[in-house]
Amino acid sequence: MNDLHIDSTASTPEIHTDFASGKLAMAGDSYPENSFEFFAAIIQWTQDFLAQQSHALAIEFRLVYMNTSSVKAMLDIFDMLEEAHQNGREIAVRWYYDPRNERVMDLADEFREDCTFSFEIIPEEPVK
Amino acid sequence: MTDAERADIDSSALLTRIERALADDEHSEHPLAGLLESLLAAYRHQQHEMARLIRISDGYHGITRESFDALVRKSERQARQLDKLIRISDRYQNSLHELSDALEHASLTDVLTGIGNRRYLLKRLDEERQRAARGGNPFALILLDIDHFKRFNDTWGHAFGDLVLKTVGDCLQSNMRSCDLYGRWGGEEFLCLLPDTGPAQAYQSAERLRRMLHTIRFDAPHDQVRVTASFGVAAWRDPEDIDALLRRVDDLLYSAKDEGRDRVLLDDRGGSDDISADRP
Repeated sequence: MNDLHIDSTASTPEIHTDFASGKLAMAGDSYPENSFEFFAAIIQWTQDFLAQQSHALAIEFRLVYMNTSSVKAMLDIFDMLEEAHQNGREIAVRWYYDPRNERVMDLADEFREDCTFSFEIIPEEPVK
Repeated sequence: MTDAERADIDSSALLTRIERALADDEHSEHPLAGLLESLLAAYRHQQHEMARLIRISDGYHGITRESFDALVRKSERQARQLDKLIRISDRYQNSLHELSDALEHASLTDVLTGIGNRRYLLKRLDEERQRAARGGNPFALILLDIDHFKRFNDTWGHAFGDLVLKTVGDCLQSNMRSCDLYGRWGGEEFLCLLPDTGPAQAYQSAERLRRMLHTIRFDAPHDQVRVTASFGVAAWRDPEDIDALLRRVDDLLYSAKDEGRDRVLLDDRGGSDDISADRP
């Protein structure tokens, strides 16, 4: 399985995955020209991981601004995760945010609402 | 036995009788035999069609059963997603709106004094001139400059100079009418815009400000300091543009400085109110 290692741009977040150990990390702003295309790779990776691996998936988000279609893609990912969790998969999300930006905390909280798996929202001072 | 069951038995018994009768040579020449034969064929065809329709409808029923729940779950999920999506984008929209309000306010506010800045004044001057040019009442300007400000700064430091600027800002805030607009024009200059005001009334406002400043004492190290200001006052004259009006008050302000400071100079050409009685 190919892991994703994508550097951030002004409009897209950086992405790192580890298929073997079950890790997915995204950080930055997300307002790509074509959100569907951009998120297709992440959705594919997640689907493959859930289908081919049986161990836990640990997710780390440091997402800040997201446009509407990015939010839509994330909702799809969270639905997939929730379904996997309902089927017994261990899933853990940690969403880090800059405490000066409470809007991000609200956003993460909105995502957390429908999730029954572990979902922590953690303030984190930005690295200088 | 229900009526339907009774009818079913009756009709199959009837069919058997008809079939037998048709098979019987004795009846084969009967005038109704042909008609009965056709009716029988039509009835069989209908039965066949009915059975086919029931099979199809059972099939549909089977398909629907299996996928209907999934379809409902999917549409519920989509409705939930849409709901959430709208909430999140509303939240973004609201914060963008608040941010743009805050930015607009910041872009029009003088950081030090908290009153309007030059950009704010230019914007309002333009609006006020347009209003007056459309046939509204004329307006007046007061431009004031703190006397010897540089000397305060040099003698007691910039913090003292800042305090003086803030105090003059506060003085405008508490002494101008609520319809008046004012702001820091730049450096130690402040500008007031008085809508619906003639030169005499504007002159009185400026005089009141000048006297108010006399009552304020500033605590400087080892000293109490009094601050004065010089004023230029003029009313807009149709169809004068803002730059020309600003030049007039600016010229008056510097004449006031030249004449010894701490005074108000008025350009009373223009405007409609008679100011001669008020002139000191």
